[in-house]
Amino acid sequence: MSEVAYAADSDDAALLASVAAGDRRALGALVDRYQDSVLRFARSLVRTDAEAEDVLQETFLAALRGAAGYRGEGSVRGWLLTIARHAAYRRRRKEAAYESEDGHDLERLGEEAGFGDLHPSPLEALAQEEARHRVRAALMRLDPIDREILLLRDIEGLDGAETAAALGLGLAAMKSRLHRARLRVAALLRNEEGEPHVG
Amino acid sequence: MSAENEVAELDCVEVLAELSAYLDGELEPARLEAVRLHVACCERCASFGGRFARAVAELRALGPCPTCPPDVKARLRQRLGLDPEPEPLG
Repeated sequence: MSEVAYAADSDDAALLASVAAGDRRALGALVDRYQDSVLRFARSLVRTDAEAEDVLQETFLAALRGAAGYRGEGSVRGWLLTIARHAAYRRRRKEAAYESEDGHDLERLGEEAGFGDLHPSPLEALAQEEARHRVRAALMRLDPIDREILLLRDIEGLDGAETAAALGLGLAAMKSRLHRARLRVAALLRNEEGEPHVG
Repeated sequence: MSAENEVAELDCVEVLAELSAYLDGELEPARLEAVRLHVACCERCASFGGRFARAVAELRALGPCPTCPPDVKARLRQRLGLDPEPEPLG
């Protein structure tokens, strides 16, 4: 069976089971299916394209070694992205920095994002591609702890439980961090628009 | 900023805290209705809520791109001991 047919006919858990059994075509199909997601996520966590590629390779090597240990808790994609996250943070040597919420006041975050401001956003006036460029630029200006959760939850589309599992958080902690990250990116976007602040 | 605009038994700060849950469809029905009622009656929460929703929508619209470059794919396959990908036809 070709790798393409394998990918079309097998769900992720079955594919991973085949990888664990030594099926190289299944490994190729898994790579084809998730290399884009893993590389995108890795690139958001490390400084250079070269480091992102190293994380990509380390992730799939780890997946190959650990496929037999996958217990079906959460999606295979979430499992791979968790592996990628750990690989990236081992490189960054900042694991200890990503333990707890920073305690910023929710109201202050809201104000910075325009909470209480009655002025309409000029966002509607931007072309779609300009808007996408701005959002990508804002994402890259975030702290990694905010960027990674937005990438997982809002861009890669992992559900809440998968996102929490990938980040090693409880669901409530994930939701809190997600909301604050969204407020921070909204604040960056608002500042770029030059909206007036309401005192 | 004063958050004391209480509508539907929620003040604006409470609505602010619920906005992500609202967008993600995670609110219990009674809470969802309270947030909706507050936003319908509170101009600033309606304004901010709309902008916040658009920011989240724009994040989601970034979608799954860019894709893995061909040379990166090739090196990954080599590292994993996989055969090179076949060249596309045409």
